[in-house]
Amino acid sequence: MKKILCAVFAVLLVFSAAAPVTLQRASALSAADVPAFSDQPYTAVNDNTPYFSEEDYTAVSFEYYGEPDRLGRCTLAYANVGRDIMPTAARGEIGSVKPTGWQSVKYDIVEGKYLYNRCHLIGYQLSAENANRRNLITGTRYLNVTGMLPFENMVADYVKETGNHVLYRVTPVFTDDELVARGVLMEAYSVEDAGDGICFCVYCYNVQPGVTIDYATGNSCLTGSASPAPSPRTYIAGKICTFTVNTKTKKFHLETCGTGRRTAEQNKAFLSGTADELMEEGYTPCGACHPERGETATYYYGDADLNGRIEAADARLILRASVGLETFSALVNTLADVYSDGVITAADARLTLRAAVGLEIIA
Amino acid sequence: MTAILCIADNGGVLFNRRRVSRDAAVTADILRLAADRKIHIRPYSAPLFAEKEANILCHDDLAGGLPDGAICFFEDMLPPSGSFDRLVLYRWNRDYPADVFFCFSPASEGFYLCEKTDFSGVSHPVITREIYERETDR
Repeated sequence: MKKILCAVFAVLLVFSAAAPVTLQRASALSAADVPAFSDQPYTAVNDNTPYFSEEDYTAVSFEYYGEPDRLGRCTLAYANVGRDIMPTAARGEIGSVKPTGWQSVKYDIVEGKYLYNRCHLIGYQLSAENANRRNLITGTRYLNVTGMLPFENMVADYVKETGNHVLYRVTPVFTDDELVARGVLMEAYSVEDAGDGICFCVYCYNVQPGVTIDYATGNSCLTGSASPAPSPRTYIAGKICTFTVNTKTKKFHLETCGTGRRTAEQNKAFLSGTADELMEEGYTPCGACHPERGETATYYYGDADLNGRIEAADARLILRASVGLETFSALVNTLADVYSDGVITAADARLTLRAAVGLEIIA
Repeated sequence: MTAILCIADNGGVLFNRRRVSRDAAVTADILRLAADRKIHIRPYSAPLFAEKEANILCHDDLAGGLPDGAICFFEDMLPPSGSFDRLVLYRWNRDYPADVFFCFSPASEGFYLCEKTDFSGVSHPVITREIYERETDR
């Protein structure tokens, strides 16, 4: 019953006049607004003062998890943490959730080996949320344990000790269309004592010392080894795309799936939407191509139009981008920057053109 | 002087001008240790002892002018180096963020551990109390 009341309150809060203002202000932070990572897991933002407004302060617990964006990425998790929403049982299984950019990859230099954790925006110890995909992002071990956990500990112990409430919001910060967050903005404020107990506003870096991450895809490599390839790129399950469906068997497939292509013409159709939506309509994902998991595709440096070939047309696009006549997504930016020097110039276009006619090979 | 402090696993004492944690069991333990002697604190710590005001003396400055053997509880300032001959250290056994740290190396500062006790807190599963005294007093 408490959960239901909390949910009702959260809905009211979200649709109240005040809440969207602060939500907007929190998510306006970009990774470019904070100093580059050096050796500290977090940095204070806004003089360590959260962006809540006075209308946000309430002594009633609630939880709110924002709608995923068009790429299926988490947008925000917001709670007024009180004893009544804290866990009373051990954490459950969360392995069924595959956050955007998720990859299962191990490095010996990472504690526990796995580079990525399913990282709760609002930690389990605060709101008892298990496999809530609106509350889980792809986060490095370093972000999860060294960056965020100490703040969660501080809030959890304060609430347990005092019985007070802590307004608590975590906003993942993505750059462009990247699938892995660059970091998270964490804000907290203890309500009953007007911030005397808890008050912070910090940005935690989603990095792993010694590992270089391609945030567009989640690909990674040891720092100092070859650059992380921008491909394959995984289309995440929440993305709207076109599926091949068999109207007789009610199976759906990726467009590239051979089984789907061989569907009898009278039973074949194409539907757009997310995999989740098709499953809600009664379709079952193909066991061969697993459309609910996504699709991988290989892209190449210089292939600015993503057609799988390096041609003069790519060089033209890159040249236009170098003078500001084209805007690329994060992925294409990476591909177009064939010299990998962080900026797209006419030199990238020239190298692409020479590669297109066989005079160069792009490493 | 007996200095009393609470620290996180990383030695953290404060974050953003606020204590990193608190526990009523620690407050009770400090009062028990002090028995009928006064505990000197700064105004910041006063709310923790609100129900035991008779045992508390509040000062803006805990650095000087105190009687020999005074018991001082430090939260929003650190005890000046060399100012104490007995240290009671409460360890939260938790990671908390911090921007003020208490760095204490008993051996190099001429102290030895004379007592170590674990107990349960109100909001902390295990709190460790360590008492250090000067080697010269051994």
